[in-house]
Amino acid sequence: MTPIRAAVVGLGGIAEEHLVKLHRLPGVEVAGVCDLSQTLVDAVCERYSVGPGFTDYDRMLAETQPDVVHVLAPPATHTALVGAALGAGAHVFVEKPIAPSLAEYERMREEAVARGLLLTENYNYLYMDSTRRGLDLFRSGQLGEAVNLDVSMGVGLGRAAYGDPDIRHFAHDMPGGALRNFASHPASIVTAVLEEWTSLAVSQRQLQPGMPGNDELRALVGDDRVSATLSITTRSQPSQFSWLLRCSEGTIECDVFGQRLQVVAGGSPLSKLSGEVRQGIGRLGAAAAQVGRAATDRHSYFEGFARLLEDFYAAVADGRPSPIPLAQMDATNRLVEGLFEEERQV
Amino acid sequence: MKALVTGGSGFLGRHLIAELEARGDSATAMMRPSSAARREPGERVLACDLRRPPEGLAASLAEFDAIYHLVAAAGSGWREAFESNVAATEKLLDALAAAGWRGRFVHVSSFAVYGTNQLARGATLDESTPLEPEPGRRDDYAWTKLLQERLVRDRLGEMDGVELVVVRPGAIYARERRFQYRLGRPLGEHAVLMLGGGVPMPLNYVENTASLLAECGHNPAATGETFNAVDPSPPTQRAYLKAWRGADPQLKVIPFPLWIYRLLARGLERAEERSGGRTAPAAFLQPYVMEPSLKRLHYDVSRATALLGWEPPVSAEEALRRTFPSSSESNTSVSRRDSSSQL
Repeated sequence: MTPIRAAVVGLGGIAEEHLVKLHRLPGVEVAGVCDLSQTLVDAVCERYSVGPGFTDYDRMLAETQPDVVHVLAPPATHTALVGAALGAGAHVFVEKPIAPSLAEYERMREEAVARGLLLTENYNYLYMDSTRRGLDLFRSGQLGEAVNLDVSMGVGLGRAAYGDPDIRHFAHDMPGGALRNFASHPASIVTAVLEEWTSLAVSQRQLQPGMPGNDELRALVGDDRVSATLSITTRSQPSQFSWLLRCSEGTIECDVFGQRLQVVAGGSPLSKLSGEVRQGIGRLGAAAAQVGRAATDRHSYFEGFARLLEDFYAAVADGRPSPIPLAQMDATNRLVEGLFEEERQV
Repeated sequence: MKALVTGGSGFLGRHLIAELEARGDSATAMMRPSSAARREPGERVLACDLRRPPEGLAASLAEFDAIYHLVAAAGSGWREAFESNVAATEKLLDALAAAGWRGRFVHVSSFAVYGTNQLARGATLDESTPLEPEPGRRDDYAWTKLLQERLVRDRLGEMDGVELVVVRPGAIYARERRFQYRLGRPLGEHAVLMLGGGVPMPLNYVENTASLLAECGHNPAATGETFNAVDPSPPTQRAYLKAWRGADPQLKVIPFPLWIYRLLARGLERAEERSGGRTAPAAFLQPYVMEPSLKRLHYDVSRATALLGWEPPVSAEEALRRTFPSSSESNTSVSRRDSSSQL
């Protein structure tokens, strides 16, 4: 079988995750990598045994004729890079945030649809095992209807590149700054439950002096039947990402980074007791899994990403729709845009 | 002599500037603008972040007779290590080429560039030891330091009138940097997991490193040469930690047998092979990454003495005494951030 040819543009920190995982995918070969620095390109080709390397993106597209392009450069470049990849007939897998504005996302989306090509934004945390199991349980209807949802994400950026006083991180130049760089992750959980949100109110603040832009965001999202809160902070340690979905007949609590899922179903005292026992066993299992992960996987944050890529490439091979439906990307990007619109702020 | 020290606000940089000034040089510290804003009164500073140098960098380099290139980073992911160790060096070399700069360039490389995995246990490591043949299998620091040294040699080799000297220090230590990855792993504020105990550590007291670098900047016999910077009589991990506990009774040392560590690491390596790479071990459990720090080797430190007539000014015993003074005021906690060099 002819392998699927993947090309990567933008060799920033996240490129390692893509290259390592592409290397492990059967039936996929990295046909080319591209960045502005020849030294960086050469170094990446040598370290990850990929290539050839390019500093001219159009040349890479023309010479390698990729089936898929991974767009990993800063968001401000995405419209041009995605457009060129689609123009070359390639499906596109693009890092979040897919665009600095909803309008730019919509242009890319239209072009992908018109050309019959896949365009997928990396919502890798939807593919973490705990999140998938929790959302599958909700969709099965066993816990009744959704009542409300709390999604919360906290990352410490003070000492990371975002807080570098000498070189401004690209995220600070987007509307919403560093908060926007992360917003698609919690937003994609919200839109997995509330596909058509109708109301949105947002509060943003800067609580840490010295950092460019706001570092705290809290939003109320809702439709006619369900309400949700979405919180992001960029100044808490350790990193944390969790969601709690209350349903009419039970609750689902998911620790995304910790990969722990707790389900409490309503019902008789006996069923509650058995639920408690299952939770205890689940906690022990999760603790053992964390120890195993510390020893055996440097990148446990990206475990869901490996599964998402597998599904994405299977869709490419079989000519199926992307595992992240366009409707969910639409709702998520509409929500992300709304989080930073002036008229939504309270 | 007018000297420029890149990374001049760092641990080694501050000691080198003091050493150069003591020799009568006029030493300028290149440092990032955020560090330059906190400069000491009277300090000569060139504010420049080599990752994004200002337009006029080439012109401002012309006045220096010697450049000591110390800029380095480790521990924050491969891209940041690449930016600080390789991309920043490339920008400096671009500026030197644009300026048609002539002078002496002392490049601070690292022990990490050697192909230590390929050496037999008990072998002697010196300047003739081959470089790492598989850089991609080493950690981010070793990989980027190899790329950096290669870049410096290639680019400066194309320039006329540049005298290159390469210095490869072992694990640089001092009172303000006690923890070394060659000991094992830090466990919290006052505890170290000691991997083994009997492995000799190629340490280099920071004042000795600074002295050798300054010598290389001045001594005509150093031109075109490479020198390792290691103190004579390397202490074992156990001896080093004993000295540390003498200064810090709170320090807990938890010994972990090296053979168990190696068995565990090899088991994880086999599991990785069997899983087709899905269960890649953490870097500190990859034999190819950690073994260079844990192998029993001999270190030949005679080259600098033979070629330059240079001797380390601080003896190994005195260096340990200064690093671990036996007074209650000397407590310094183990810190991951201190251990910026995974030599």
